[in-house]
Amino acid sequence: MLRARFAEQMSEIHKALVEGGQVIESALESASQSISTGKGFKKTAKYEHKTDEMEDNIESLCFHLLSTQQPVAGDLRLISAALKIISDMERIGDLCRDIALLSPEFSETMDTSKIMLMCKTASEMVKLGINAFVAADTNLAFQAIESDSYVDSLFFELKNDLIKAATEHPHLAASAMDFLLAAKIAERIADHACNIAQWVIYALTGERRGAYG
Amino acid sequence: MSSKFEVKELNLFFGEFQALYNINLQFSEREVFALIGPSGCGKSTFLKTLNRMNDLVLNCKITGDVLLDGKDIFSAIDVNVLRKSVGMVFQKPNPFAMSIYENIAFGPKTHGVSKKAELDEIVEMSLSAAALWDEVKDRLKKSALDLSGGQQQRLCVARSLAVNPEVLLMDEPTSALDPLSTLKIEELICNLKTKYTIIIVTHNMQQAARVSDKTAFFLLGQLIEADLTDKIFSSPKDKRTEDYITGRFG
Repeated sequence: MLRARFAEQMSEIHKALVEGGQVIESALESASQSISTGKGFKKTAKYEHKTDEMEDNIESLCFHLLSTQQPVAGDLRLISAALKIISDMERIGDLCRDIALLSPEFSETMDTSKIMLMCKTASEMVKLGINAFVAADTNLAFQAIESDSYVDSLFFELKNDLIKAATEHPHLAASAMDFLLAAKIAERIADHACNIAQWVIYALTGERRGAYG
Repeated sequence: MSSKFEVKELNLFFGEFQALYNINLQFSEREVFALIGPSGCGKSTFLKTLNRMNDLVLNCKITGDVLLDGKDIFSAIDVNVLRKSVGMVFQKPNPFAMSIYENIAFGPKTHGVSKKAELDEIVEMSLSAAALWDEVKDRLKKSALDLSGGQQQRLCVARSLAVNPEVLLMDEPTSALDPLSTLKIEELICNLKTKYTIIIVTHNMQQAARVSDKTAFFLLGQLIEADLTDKIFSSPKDKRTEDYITGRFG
């Protein structure tokens, strides 16, 4: 095969993105645990460091290939998408750490089921996006994108719950603010997961998000 | 944009060997169209068909239509008139062994221009359009063979422009040039397309991506895919195109 070394480096990017997806899932799981226990910041922060390292590695490899191999077509789409995807993954890592940082401030009386569900759904979205990438199946990526509106609706429900709780129990207002902040962060994580799925579709088909709304 | 060249169901044979299979393509006015494909795919043969250079090849048989502004180039246009309208620049610069001035004036003289003032104007305009005037204006009487390879190639472009063509065919015009001269020719192509239709055969994929508006991919005498260059180099439809441009074969 021509350009065997290049093909090998392209598969390194592929592999690194799959690994990145797994790290993100672990970071989200760790953030979820911290919501329920109020502990686990250090563990979540480790995953955040890991995503920073992954971003550096993937960026270096992509920049190297862009400058030396002049990739086109599917190769160029994969490299471009990888640069965008790893940026979203790195942001998710940061946001998971932020949730873990806030979680000790939550009152024990708060119902965590909705925010936990938001984190779980975001994690599934990342998984679907990466599976779509591995299986070259855009249907899985579209499923991930569709889940974003579900996370949005959970956020608005939770916001209303918190306004009600803070109104009825003013002593919970400060905790409710932190809780709302964490919920907003979880909603942002789902947005980044949605971005990942959109870039996977671009890598597979060349279609930008404007093409499918 | 209206169609300058239209090729319909073109088949070309060298004796028993079929070199081109049922080619259908349209070239619009004032666009750069790149033809790419591996060696022997028929892209240069196709290019030469557009100004009937293959007529000179023994046992060459052509079927189908090639229309220039709606007129059949094989039956409705005199070959000399065709080649005046459709200039050609080759892989290797081929200046005549005469002065820079005479290289440019040769074509117009052949077509009946004899007044010195008129020839002077054509020489200056052609050399300026080919981005060579400033470099040679003080040595027009010197031999063209003393120019560098890149300058010689721009001289050949100027020579083509001197007879006021509508289409420029370029067969790997930079493959014998250094990187700087290559960039000058590419810049020139981008400037010339405001006035001319340019069809370029190139082995340099990045060059096709840089200079052309549309690209056609040929393989084993067949036109596999033709589309906007952006589309071909980002999301080609045919897997064979993708495999070729990404270096999986070729």
